Amino acid sequence: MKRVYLGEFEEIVLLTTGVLHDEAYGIAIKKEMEERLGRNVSVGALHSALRRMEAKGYIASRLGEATRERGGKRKRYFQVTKEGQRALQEVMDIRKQLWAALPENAFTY
Amino acid sequence: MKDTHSSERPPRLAEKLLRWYFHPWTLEDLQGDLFELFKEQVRNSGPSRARRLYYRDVSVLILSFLWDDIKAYFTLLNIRPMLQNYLKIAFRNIAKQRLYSLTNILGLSLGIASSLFIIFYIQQELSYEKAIPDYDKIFRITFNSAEKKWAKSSLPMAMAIKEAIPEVTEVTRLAYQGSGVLSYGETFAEVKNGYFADSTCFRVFKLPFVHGRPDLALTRPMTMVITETLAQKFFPEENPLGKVLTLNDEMEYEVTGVVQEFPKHSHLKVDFVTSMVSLLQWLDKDLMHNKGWMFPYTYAFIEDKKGFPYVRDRLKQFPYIFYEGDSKEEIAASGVYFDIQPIASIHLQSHREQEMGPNGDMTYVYIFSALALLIILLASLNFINLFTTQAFKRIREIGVRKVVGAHRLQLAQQFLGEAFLMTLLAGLCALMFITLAMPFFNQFVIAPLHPSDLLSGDVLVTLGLMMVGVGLLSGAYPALYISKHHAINSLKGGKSSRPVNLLKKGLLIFQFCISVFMIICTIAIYQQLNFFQEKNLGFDNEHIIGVKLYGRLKGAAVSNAKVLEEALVSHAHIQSVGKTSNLIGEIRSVEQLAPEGNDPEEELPQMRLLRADEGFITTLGIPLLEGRNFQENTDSIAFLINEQAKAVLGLQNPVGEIAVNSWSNSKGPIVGVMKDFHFNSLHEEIEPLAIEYKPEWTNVLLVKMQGGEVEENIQFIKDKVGEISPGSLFSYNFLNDQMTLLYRSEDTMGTIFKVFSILGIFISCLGLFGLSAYASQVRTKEIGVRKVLGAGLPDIVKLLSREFIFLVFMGNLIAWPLAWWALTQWLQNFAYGIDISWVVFLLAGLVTVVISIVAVGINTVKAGIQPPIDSLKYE
Repeated sequence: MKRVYLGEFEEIVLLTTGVLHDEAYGIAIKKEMEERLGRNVSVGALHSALRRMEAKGYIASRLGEATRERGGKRKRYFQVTKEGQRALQEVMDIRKQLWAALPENAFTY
Repeated sequence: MKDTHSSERPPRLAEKLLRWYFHPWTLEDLQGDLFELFKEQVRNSGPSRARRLYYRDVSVLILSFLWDDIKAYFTLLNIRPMLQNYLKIAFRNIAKQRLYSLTNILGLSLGIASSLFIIFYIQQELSYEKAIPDYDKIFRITFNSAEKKWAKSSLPMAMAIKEAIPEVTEVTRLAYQGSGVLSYGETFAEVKNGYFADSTCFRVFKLPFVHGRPDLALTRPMTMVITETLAQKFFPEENPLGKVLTLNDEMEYEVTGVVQEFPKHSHLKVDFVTSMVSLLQWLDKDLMHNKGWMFPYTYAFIEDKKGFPYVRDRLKQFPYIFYEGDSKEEIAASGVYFDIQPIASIHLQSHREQEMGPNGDMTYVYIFSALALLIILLASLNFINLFTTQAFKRIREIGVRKVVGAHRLQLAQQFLGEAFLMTLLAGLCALMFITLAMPFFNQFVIAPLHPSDLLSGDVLVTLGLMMVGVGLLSGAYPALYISKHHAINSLKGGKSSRPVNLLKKGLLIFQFCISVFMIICTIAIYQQLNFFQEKNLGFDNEHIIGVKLYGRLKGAAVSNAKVLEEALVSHAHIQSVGKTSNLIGEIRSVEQLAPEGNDPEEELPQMRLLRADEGFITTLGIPLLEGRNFQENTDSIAFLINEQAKAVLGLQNPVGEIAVNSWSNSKGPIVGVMKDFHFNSLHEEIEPLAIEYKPEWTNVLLVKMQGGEVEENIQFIKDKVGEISPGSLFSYNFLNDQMTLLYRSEDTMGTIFKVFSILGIFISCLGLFGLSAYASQVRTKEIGVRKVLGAGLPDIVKLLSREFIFLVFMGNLIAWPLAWWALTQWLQNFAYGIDISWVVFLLAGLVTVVISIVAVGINTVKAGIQPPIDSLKYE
């Protein structure tokens, strides 16, 4: 299997996209992330990460409905693909293994 | 329905940016997202903050995508074959358009080469003193009276300063000893600048020693330190330490040290130094403690650089310590104060009385920098103009590339690459030109350049920066503009509707403006130089040589004055001889002369003083207004004064008055008044001058020749001088040459401007030539049609050149007032300057118009004489 590379930011974006499920479009992801992380997320960084992952095949997108709130522009909804799920899984596995490998006194000072 | 207030809309510019960068496919949802955010911000924090945030979001968005694009571009593409293709096409293009490529590269490389030369020159000007170790800790302390700012100071000042200001780590004095001839056995060396120096000299100027110890070298009387060059000359095989050199046949000094070299780029013009104690043992006690006699240069070494402002501050109080006998009020009223200058600032910024040698001028550094910038700008603009013109011709190629799938970024890259390739070639040519022109350049600088200097890091970096700059600028326009063209339009045959658009017109006007400006300046500078040469200086300077008198020769020339004079004048081609202490242009001594019985309390008038014999004014042909010349047997001490001095002394009938030179303690009658003559350079007004009759203090024998072979005359003079003092070195120079030295910086500037204005007009015409060739090519068909309809050659030529000649005119119109302003500023440097005449402007205009008519004409005539069938066939 091809090695996955997922940056920390990308990982969070991907997870948030999954969390929002059907409602995952740009602003929604941004807000969700900001709420959970407690810090600002820039539209630029978010969209470029989304596009990067779309290019890698971790997410897919479709255009949604236009609303007046958006000045008549349609939303683009994102959805985590199978590939994306696998990448997330792999990252989590690596972390789990690392946690498991920690000796008991690793954090005693 | 209009439901939103205009301030509640996202900023238009940001929206435009967004539309410009993103493909319509991805644009929509981004716009939507941003709009949504914007709305929310308007609600939360008001429209102005929302607009600001919108801008920020857009820029971050674009930057993040751009960054990704660039990364993707480099990782995804198969770059090598693509680059190979670009390179191939680039070389093909260069080869296909040989004339164009050649002119373009030539123009740019000339520009680069000449501005690099200027940079070298400026670099040298700025490098003064930097070769002296710890130069930034060395300072010169100077004296200022109410009338004059001196470079020198008095003998007792140095020690007093060291005692009064503990931050001054070390002081040293350098006092001029004179020029002359050093000899060792049969070996002679002419030396220009000998100085008496304190034993601390090399603790301030930490120059490396080859032999001897810097701290002990100048401690004993009659010891000296010479340079390695001199040591090589006198003692090629032996150890110079302990050897005795004779100065001017009279003083014998023991060599106690050999210093590597006094740096060339230094205001210190020193060939050798002798110990200060030698001077002090002969010097009158009064003079030694005289606080008003400006004699040595005083230097201070300040170990802690941060102490400098403190020392400067302390110097303000120093007069009250130094002149302890005088009351505070007296000192304050006298206007006397002391200054401290970092030595690194002396060469370009110090223009004090009696500097060690002629200094440079910061203004010229600025002028030259501006010139370098102008010329490189001119060359780059020209390059950009020609390169873009050429790029438009290739619009079809671009179309094809687009159809085959070239990304805009790739096309842009291709053009940039080509621009870089050409600038690279130009850079290489420039290095070649520099190497070729180096001997010419080396005439103007103290330290000659060597071709290997070109490979130093600094030069290569500068050159690289220049090339990258020009490459970016010239490649960017076609890269961004042409790559935008739609593939279909490009393939349809490249309708670049206007061959010479506004931008190019602007560039051309600018180029010609610069060229005209430089031409006008060149003419004016030469007029000024010419004016210096032609101006009646009030004395005769043609065919006069000055023979240096020193040591034995001096003694012989004074004691056998009559014999020598008669022997010389007996020659048919020698008119007269005279003796003087200083040559014209070097009359620097400032002394006080006053009528006898003057109130001693009163401030005595200061004036320049010269010592000479009765032959001086006859040889130089200086007319007397009143009284008579010196007479050999009747006068023991006598004075001649000029009109300015007469005014300063306030005497109605000065002839016959007794005057006292309080400095040399000599008293004698004023025997005559000379008409004012320019005894120093024309930068300055004529100052009061007095000539004291004192043949025994003279250093130069002036000989006026008339007719005959110059070589032969000089040989004759040499023989006669040799007869009265056999074995002495015969050294002479022409008064004329001496005078041109006074205007050396103007002369250098004139030459540089001349070269640059020729270059400038040449480069501009290359541009004009290239553009007009292109314009006539684009209009080939039109010309054919016109000819068929009956237009003659003159009509065609007129049609094609009108536009360009108009641009040249515009350039002229802009340049004239600029040049006028700049020249007026420059001419303020001279007490005696020319008036700028309108003819100069007209001439410059005429020159540019004629040259550009020729450049355009070649192309238009070619287009005009082509049979219409050929032009119409062209497709």
